[in-house]
Amino acid sequence: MTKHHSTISRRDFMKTLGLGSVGLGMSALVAPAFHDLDEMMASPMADFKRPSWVKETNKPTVDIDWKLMGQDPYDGSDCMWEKGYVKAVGETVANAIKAQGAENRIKWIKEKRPGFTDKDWAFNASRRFFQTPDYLNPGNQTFLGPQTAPTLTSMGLPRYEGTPEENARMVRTFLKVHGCSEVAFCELDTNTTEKILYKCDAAGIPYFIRDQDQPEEVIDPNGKSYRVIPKRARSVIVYTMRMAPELLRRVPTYLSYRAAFIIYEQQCLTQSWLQQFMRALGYMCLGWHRITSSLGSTTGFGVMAGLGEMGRTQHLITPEHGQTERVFCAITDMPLAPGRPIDFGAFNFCKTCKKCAELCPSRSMSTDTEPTWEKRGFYQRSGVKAWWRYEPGCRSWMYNVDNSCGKCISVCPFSKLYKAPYHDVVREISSNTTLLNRFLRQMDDFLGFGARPEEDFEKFWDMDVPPWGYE
Amino acid sequence: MWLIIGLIIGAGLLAWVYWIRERHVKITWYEWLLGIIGLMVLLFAIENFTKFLAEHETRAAWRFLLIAGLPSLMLLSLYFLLPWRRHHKAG
Repeated sequence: MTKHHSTISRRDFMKTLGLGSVGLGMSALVAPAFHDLDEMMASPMADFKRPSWVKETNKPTVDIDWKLMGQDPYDGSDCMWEKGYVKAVGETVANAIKAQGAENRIKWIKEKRPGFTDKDWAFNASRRFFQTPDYLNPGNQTFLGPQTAPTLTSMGLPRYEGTPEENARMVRTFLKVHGCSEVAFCELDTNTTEKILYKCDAAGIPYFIRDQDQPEEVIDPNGKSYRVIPKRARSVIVYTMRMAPELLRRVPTYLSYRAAFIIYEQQCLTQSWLQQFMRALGYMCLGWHRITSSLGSTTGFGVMAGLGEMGRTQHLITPEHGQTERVFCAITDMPLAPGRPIDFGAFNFCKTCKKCAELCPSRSMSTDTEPTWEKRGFYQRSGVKAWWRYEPGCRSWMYNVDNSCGKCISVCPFSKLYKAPYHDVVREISSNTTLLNRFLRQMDDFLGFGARPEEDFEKFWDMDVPPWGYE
Repeated sequence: MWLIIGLIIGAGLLAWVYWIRERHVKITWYEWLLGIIGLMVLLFAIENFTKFLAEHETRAAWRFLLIAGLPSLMLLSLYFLLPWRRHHKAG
């Protein structure tokens, strides 16, 4: 049984007594303060309330064939960011395109091309600081976490116990105060969601799920490496981190490239803090062993946890920030109240919108109205009905422009700052009916939403940018 | 900003109601409806204009002001013009 103290603050008590005006006056002088984690967990920070136009469903809006997914599990090293690119286009073509990209880099810096100036290049070159969560031992690629936090059990105390709902609020609070935007949870089920996990990480090291008490990680230079996720670790923590919108919109440039990598490197810190927190409480927390190498499809976990819907880009679209967030995951044995898939009209909007596909510089995205089960190549996973992208074309374009593009996610009508009430009207309409989707797409174009024009790229340096690039 | 707009609307409404009572101008229910809708659309246009500028979406701000602001001004014009013309015709 869990024990918590009352979280009625002195301020609320005074208000109840009817000393409203005095209380209000006094409270205006007092900044809100949390005295402990219980108060944080009781606060709105721990809530995950969605607007009424976000509906929870039993089935995700994207069709998934779990049996097919299980029969052909995805190899993380087959993605375009790893060996998948050379496997798809061949070494000769890959080297030629990379060489062209390197040539373009020098040429554009010399030409002071907007978005590719020396200043912009240096802005992006600031990355490659955190590449692995174990920043004290660079190159130590572990999914176990730093493993240095003291634990309750080491002090002779019992480990922390809470109900799944309390635990969910606690973990959400922890992650939000450490820079995350939305946090949800998914339960690993043998016949369904467990199949979202990759069979191998980005380096080709296999993951196994076994009935054993503790996780295991063997890194063998002779090629017999593996990682074991204990079967009893049934909860997936899925969390998002926002990217700077004004960077994302200056695409494809070194400025937009940095937007993603600020978050990847921030995630190394955030994941480490989470793993230490969970360890201190008495639980395992298995995360990414290095940046860009997930345990499984974060879009898949995000959909099943109820963070968002899958879009045409195959990325997660969240009601709060569209596609301007990166999604991460970690696995734990702490019981966490799982979320349910949601429907706010995004997947259906993608059917008619097609803005990302029409504006894709490499023409790699599908412009079909309906998604399909037929994936385009080995680099994509089976068992999902999606608008499959020609990944080698996308990655080749990225190499050519010497950055990670991202035009698709920046032009998405859902990727907005959401300050203007117009956006609320659009979301309310698109979540309730598909009849006006075409008109809403046309309005999005008419109002000029999307990527910034080239003449605006360098104006970024004169903007009054908020901390971390977003408010 | 909204405090000032609210004060202006409040003062303007007060002056208008005083004026129509003084002159015994009759306004029908549908004219009131036009006026209320026109005012709401105008306020919606202004709110979106300022918020689009806050989002650094300058083009969206001006274009939305045009497509929402113009119709709202038309509706408000009808709200003022129709009873005014009727009042003048009646002499």
